[in-house]
Amino acid sequence: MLKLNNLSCSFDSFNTNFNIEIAHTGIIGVVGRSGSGKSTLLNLIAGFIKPQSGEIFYQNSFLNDLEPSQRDLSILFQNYNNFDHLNVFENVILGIDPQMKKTPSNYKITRDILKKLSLDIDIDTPVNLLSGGEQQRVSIARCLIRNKSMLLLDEPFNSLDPGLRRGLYEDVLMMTKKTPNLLTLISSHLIDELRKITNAFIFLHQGKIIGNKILSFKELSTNKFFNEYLK
Amino acid sequence: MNKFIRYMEAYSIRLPYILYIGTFFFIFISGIFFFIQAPDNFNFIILNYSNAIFFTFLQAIVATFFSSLLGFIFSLILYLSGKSQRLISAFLNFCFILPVIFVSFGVIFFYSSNGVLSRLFSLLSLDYELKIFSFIGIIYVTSYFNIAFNANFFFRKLVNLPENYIKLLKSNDIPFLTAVRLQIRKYLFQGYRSILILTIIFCASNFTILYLLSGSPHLVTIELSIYQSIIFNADLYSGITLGIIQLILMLVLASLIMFNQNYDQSLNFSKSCMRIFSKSSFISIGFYLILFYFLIPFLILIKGLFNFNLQLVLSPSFINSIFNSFMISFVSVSFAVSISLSTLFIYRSFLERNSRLHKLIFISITILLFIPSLSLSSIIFYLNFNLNFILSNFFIVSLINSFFITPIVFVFLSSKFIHNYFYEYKHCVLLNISPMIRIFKIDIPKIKNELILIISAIFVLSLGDLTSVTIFNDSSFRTIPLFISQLYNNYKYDDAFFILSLFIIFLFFVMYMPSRLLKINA
Repeated sequence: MLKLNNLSCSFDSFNTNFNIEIAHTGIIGVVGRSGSGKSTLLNLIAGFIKPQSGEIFYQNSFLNDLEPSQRDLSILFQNYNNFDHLNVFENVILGIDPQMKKTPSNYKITRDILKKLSLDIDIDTPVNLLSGGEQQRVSIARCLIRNKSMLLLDEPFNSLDPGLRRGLYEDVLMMTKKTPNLLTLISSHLIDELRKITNAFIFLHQGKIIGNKILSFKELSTNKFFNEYLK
Repeated sequence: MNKFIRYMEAYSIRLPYILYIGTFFFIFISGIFFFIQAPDNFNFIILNYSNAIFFTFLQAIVATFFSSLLGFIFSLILYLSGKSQRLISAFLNFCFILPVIFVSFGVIFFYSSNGVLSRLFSLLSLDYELKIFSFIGIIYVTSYFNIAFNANFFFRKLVNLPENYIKLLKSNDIPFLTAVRLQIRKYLFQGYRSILILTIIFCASNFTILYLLSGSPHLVTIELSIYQSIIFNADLYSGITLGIIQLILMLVLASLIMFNQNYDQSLNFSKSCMRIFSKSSFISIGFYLILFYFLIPFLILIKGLFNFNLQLVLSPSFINSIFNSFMISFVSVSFAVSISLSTLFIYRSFLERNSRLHKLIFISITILLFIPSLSLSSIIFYLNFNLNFILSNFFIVSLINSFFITPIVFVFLSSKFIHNYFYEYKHCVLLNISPMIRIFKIDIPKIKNELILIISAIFVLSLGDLTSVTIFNDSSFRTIPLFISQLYNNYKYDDAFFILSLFIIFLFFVMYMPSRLLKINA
């Protein structure tokens, strides 16, 4: 269970206060206008932003004191999810072996995970030679081999064209289904695309979670801020 | 335990920078102590050196004027000629880092009273009166390097001209030169203030040129006075005082650009990018004239290679000077690269923490660009004198060379090193990548090409240096440039030109083999 208790931080005139308890696993869409606090929320959970007050609990662990690497999660951003100068193998295996040792077992792990994502590429290819979609799949592969129980996706596919995005959303859905107890929080402003893979949403408005709970699309539709957002 | 190891790793990466800062302050404080400890009878009269101070700036300003003007004109002609951008930029770079001794002797070989031009004039029964050991010679050679430097700046700007600008100019039928005058002038001169001040500083710190070409007691700069005070007059105190004066003047100039961190000189050669070039014969003639201008010093190769002297090549003194030069360059380059990487690591970690201290780190390294190596040499000479010559000449020359090339490495690598630092930092934190693994497995592979290029360039710079070694040399410690200079001073011109020719051919391979092998933009 993920629990955010009065989690707050502020930048300039922007203040957040997040409260929520997420008891179930699966995909949860994090939606809201630009500047509503979507990235801030995910970065707080990941540990890249230190909260000014409040608490984060995950699976009975108190996360506030833990470094990002000590938290049971992986995160992907909209851009720069790979080290461009490294090859596919190095970018993937980095998830479990920072030394990127070229051992047969590391090669096997990498090939297996790429196969799972239907990524049929030469693993020695420099990652910057791949298409945008392939590059994001490589970063997803790295998240997968880390075998963490929470995956945070901060608008990861928004810079891609719709066709590629659809494929990647399907990958996320497949990955979440295949991995028991995986909680995936995916932020996006493309709600129609999110609806195809989930019906559980967190809606953010001015740094707060509306209703302080997970809402279905139907429940969200009754909210005036959400309707304004859709306009 | 894991945290402790990481802490130690981070500090071991920071160690070269810490040692550098320690050495820097030690030298700086020694300079201050010099004033406190100066003997009572020491009476420095600045008026005695007013001519040197005046001449330093006079020749610097005149050379800067020609360098800027001709650099700009040359860049336009080179750009409009439509010739290979990669080759032109690489050639300008090479001309900028050529050893001073090579260009000076090349100019002497071509322009002196018994040089190529003089002989050509006498064949045509014309009088030849150009005196190269004069103000003109000093300006000519000083400008040679700085014209290449300025031309490369403007040339890179022109090559990187946004495609949309070119489309706009073409669709509105605006002639290119009109556009340069009216529409794109602002773009071309963006960031030029830094280049202009660097040019003035380079022109004012041209000791080797003065050392080789000053034919009159009136043609003396501050640096030459330092050299004369230390070597000929054994007046160490005047030498250091002059060194400090020069240092202060350069730092005043440097302060004008210190906070303007506009050094990015990236170049994108794209095959598909739109270009403008002219088919005018004026441009073609101009292009070949410019090429000839830059190739004049290379004529010495013809003379040099015809005077092959195997005995000289096998002589112990030559072999010794080769050994010294290589060792100095190797040590200097190792110092410079480790200090630069260490500084970049610290610089980036401050950026990652959103701390303004990164500016201080930047200044603490780039300040070395503005410290004349002869000023530094005079202070270190004083220091070593007080330490009963505990430091070997080899170590001192390597140290001074590394101080001189460190900021070049730092500036050259910085943009690539910190590229995407924000996202990389997040991934490294999340994936628990230790500082040591990050620098060796991620950062160095990332900057590998740039690192190889800059190492070859600074190796060439270091091999060709004839500044500090003129002070710190003895019968057993000579470098190749000093060996050549001594051959020349002993009237063994053919031998000097021969060794110089071999030296330049070697430097050419050092400079361009890596870029050829890597197939990257030099």
